[in-house]
Amino acid sequence: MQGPEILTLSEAVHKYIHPGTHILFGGFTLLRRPMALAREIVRQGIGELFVTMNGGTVVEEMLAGAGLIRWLESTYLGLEGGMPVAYGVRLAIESGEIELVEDYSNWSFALRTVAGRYGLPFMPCLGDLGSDLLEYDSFGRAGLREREKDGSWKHPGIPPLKYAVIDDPFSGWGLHPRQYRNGPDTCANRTNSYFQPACGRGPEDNRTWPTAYTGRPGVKVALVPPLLPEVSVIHAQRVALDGTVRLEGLPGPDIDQAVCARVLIVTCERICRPEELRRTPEQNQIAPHNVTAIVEQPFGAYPTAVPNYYDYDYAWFQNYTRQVQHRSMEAVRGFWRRHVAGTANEWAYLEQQVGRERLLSLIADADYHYRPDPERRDGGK
Amino acid sequence: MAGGDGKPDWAEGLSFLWLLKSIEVNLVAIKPQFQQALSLLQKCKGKEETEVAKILPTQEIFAAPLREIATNMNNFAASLAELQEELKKIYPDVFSAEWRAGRRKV
Amino acid sequence: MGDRDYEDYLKRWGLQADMWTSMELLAVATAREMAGSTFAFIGTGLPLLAASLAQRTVAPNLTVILESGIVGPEIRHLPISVADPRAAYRAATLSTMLDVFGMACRGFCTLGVLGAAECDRYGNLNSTALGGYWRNGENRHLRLAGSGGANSIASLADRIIVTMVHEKRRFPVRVQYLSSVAGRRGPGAEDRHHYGLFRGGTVTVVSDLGILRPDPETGVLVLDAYYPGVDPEFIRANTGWELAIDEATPMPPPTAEELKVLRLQVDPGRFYLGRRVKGRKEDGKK
Repeated sequence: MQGPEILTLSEAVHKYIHPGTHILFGGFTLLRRPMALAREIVRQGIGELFVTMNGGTVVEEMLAGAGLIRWLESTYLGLEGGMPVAYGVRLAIESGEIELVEDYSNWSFALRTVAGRYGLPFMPCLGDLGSDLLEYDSFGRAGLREREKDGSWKHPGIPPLKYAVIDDPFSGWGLHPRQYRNGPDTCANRTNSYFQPACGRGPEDNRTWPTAYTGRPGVKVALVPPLLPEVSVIHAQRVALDGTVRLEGLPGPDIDQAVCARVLIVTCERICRPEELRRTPEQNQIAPHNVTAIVEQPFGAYPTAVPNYYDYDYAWFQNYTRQVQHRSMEAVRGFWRRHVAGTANEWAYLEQQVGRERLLSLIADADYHYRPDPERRDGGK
Repeated sequence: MAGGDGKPDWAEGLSFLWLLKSIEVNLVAIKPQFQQALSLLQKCKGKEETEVAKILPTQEIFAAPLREIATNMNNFAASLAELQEELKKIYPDVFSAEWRAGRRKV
Repeated sequence: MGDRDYEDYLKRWGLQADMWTSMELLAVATAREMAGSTFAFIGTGLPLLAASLAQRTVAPNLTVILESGIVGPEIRHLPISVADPRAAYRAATLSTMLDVFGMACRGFCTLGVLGAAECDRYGNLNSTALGGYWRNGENRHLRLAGSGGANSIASLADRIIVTMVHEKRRFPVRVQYLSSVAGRRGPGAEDRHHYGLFRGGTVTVVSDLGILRPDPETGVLVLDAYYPGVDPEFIRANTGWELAIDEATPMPPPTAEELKVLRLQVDPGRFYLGRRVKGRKEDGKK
């Protein structure tokens, strides 16, 4: 069986990421973000990107800081280390440099990746209803959800609707808390406006069914379209030569996100032999046929954390805030130019911008899966 | 296989370090089972056979699975000892006999 | 955790057993609101402090769930993000974001603790944008972090607690962007159920001045309790609508026991407790 390609970082970026590529980044806040690959994008200066992720933001901060993002579809733009909102991203959005921003919630975005993962037309969501997430449609307003004259989609990564809302054909039969024969529902929640008996209330408290969105009385369900980017990138601890992927620690959104895209690039700390992972296949999460390319890049998530290998570098985040907070976009650009774009390659970055001692000082404790540091944390137990 | 792109000499050894880390993580992960097994064996000391039989599998029917477990444990202990011996040759200070003797019990 | 340890602690940090800092007061006030809770979705910082304190005091059966996919962690070192490996230590399960929100939908999210940039008179929250969502070329547009998991939690929890800095600009009559739905919002006074949210509707605001709850008839947040040393008029003056304060009572101050548990067990290194409450001067008054 044809396995995935094994490439260097620069080869992978050069081959699969082009100006305007619709790219989905894995990881979550300061956990296993594919920083090395994103740094290589900065080095190669590939711009006009359509970037999407569920819960950023250090990758996107860097790309926006380098002026490479054109459209951004996301759920959360906070940055640790003192920035409630990632500063470079905010400046880029407010100046219009990032032309379009599309917002979803963590759950509705995650449901989109499930639809993407399983090739489904949509997934149902019981959140987002009643909020402005349904009222503001950035891509729609920009005319991007339509078809061209020949019937093809204006952009293959932008669905014809942001959301749809239907009335549950099963009349809310499945919503919890619900009716059972042998006792009350054992779930912990006690509110369900469609089924008051489940909440111990009498029929006189039964509400009339809502008519919002559909114009008819019914149980409202939002539908979200699949997330279908060109390229998905994740950073794993280990990938086998045959392409089997094993994530350790919190998987975050990666398992679903990995399989949404046309192409999956997995960067990893160590490429290992298949037998290492195939003895306990229940611990593997992504099968080889999904993987397009593998890149071995130790410390490839720096400054974010890779459980069992290294912790995040808190000092990096604090320093970044100090360097750019409240300054001009030019200052932000300058930081990323010096910090990343000016480095010859990823190893040069790690050597010159971080240093081997700093990197090794982050190595994780095998019991905690991170590096407990009594000096900067609480006293510890 | 390892990424080209200017990899410094010191980084060539990272792969082996990560390999050892993956061994380490697995060892640490089964501490609770070791502690529990030792604790139960301690509990049996000085007890009557009938009491011991309530805690440990003492009947003949258990001989085969126990022998299999013993074999795997012995193999593992031997592999670990061999690995430590070889590591000691490269890292005499870290994997020295004295350090091993002074180690804390699991 | 003997008395000697506590004496040493107090001396080391320059604190007293019967006095508290603003952050400690907030943690206690929030924890009390979690009494009897069973499944709480919380984020890092103040909500985590409060949940840890609540688990040791008024909510011993509380299971903490983090939106990153963590169920029931035994946190030893305070995390700075929900995806921090510290937040996953000795958890029951680690799975995906999809999975934990699925748990919430299935019926295991009785309580959510959220923060926001704006909270309106019905408890609706804005964490997305100020000055309009569309960039309007007038330089007033300010982009915030976005919903994150807040909208999802606010949609699925029976009840939410909102932690806020109490300033007039943060408590407008109506949020500029509706990120997360709490109370009523519609032009015809339509409530959340009108828009298809089948769960929830109970909101409590724990600000750094006092506690707000909705009026049962109008759904408008009224002052329920004010903190020791705070003047209810001051709270009204710092709220964007005409806040009803007549029924408000003083909140019982943090007890010595609550403070001791908070200090010695929840955050002994004062990683969060040592921080100033955003926007407020350090009080430390009795």
